[in-house]
Amino acid sequence: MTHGICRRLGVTRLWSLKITGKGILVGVIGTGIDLGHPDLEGKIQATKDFTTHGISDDIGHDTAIAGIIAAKGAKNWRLRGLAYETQLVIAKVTQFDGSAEEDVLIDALEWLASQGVQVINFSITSDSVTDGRDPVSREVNYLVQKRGIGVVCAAGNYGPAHYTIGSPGVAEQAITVGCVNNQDVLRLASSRGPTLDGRVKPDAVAPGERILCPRAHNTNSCDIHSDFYGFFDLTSIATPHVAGIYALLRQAFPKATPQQLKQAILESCDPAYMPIVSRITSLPTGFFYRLQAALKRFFSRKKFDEKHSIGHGRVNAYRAYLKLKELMNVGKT
Amino acid sequence: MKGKLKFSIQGSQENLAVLAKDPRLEVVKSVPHIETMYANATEEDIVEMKMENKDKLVIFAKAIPFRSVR
Repeated sequence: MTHGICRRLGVTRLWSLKITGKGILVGVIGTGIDLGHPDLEGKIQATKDFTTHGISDDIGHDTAIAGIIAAKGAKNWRLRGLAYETQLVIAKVTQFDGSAEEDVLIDALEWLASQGVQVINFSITSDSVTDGRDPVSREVNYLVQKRGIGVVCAAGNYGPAHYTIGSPGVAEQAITVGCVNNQDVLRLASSRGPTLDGRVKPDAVAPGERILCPRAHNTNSCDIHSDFYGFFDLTSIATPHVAGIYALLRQAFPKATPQQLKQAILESCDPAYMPIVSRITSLPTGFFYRLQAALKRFFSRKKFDEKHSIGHGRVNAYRAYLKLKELMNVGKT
Repeated sequence: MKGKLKFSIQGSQENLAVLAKDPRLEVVKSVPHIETMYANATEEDIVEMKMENKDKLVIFAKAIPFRSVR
């Protein structure tokens, strides 16, 4: 959420058009929130604790996520969130160890919907892989299709193997996000598709390497930068970048459907790249005389790898804005 | 409650309504819009119920644990 990342994602160009997320309500489901963090003061519209230990963020995970979306930049204007004028609704669902129960997640999603959120950040994933027919994935599909709410899900950090995306990242209607480093190269740990029933996931990738975010009081689950900030990593941190972009686009185009917003975000992605290491590890070793055949297999596999690892590429907010403008104009004529 | 686990049961409203009356299930929650019910039961009872309902479109599954992505 540093200014450099916002510029790289084309977000600063939307800010110059006065698109800052004003009037948009973003739901964050996860580990709770540090209500005393200066960057989030006055940003929280409602909270609900679905555990028994209060709304405070015991792990520090979702205070960082909330900051990426909506931080005010109270300590430093260069550390503003992508949609820094949005308001947040927080649902706490995780226990002290970060675990959450399936039916509690459904309750929390329903509550967020009842609060009128337009987009939900979901940086929680199942321990096991599903085919998208599990109840949480179905609930996500329901919220998008019937309630018009965008749901942005983390792919998970179980890469580099394929078929490692859990629920609800496998939900057809979700925007599922993997993570890249600062050179737009996929991080090895980012979970990869396809889904068990062969659909392409993740849908796109976003930055997830040493992202400077608000740090919840008394937490140390990150590389600590200062009293109020820390560096966070991987797909849970990549996801709110896309949720923030979704909020910006929702402000700019209030009549767009979640499907149009998703289409615009995906069809306007910048290129992202596969890490060289994972290409090399997919080659057989010790059979030099079979190198030619191996290379042939390698290049045909490369396309599959790319498609199911980085999806459409790395998100770009300004290009998504232009794409959505085009889509909405096509609808008018 | 001892020895019981939480299961999700997916099926049509009619099938779920019948199952909800089964004394082997302790219904925890019903989510009608996604045709799902959560119930506590023993694994043995669920295996039995799977057999009894094999001709119906009902999916029994252990509730999946979730985790914040770190």
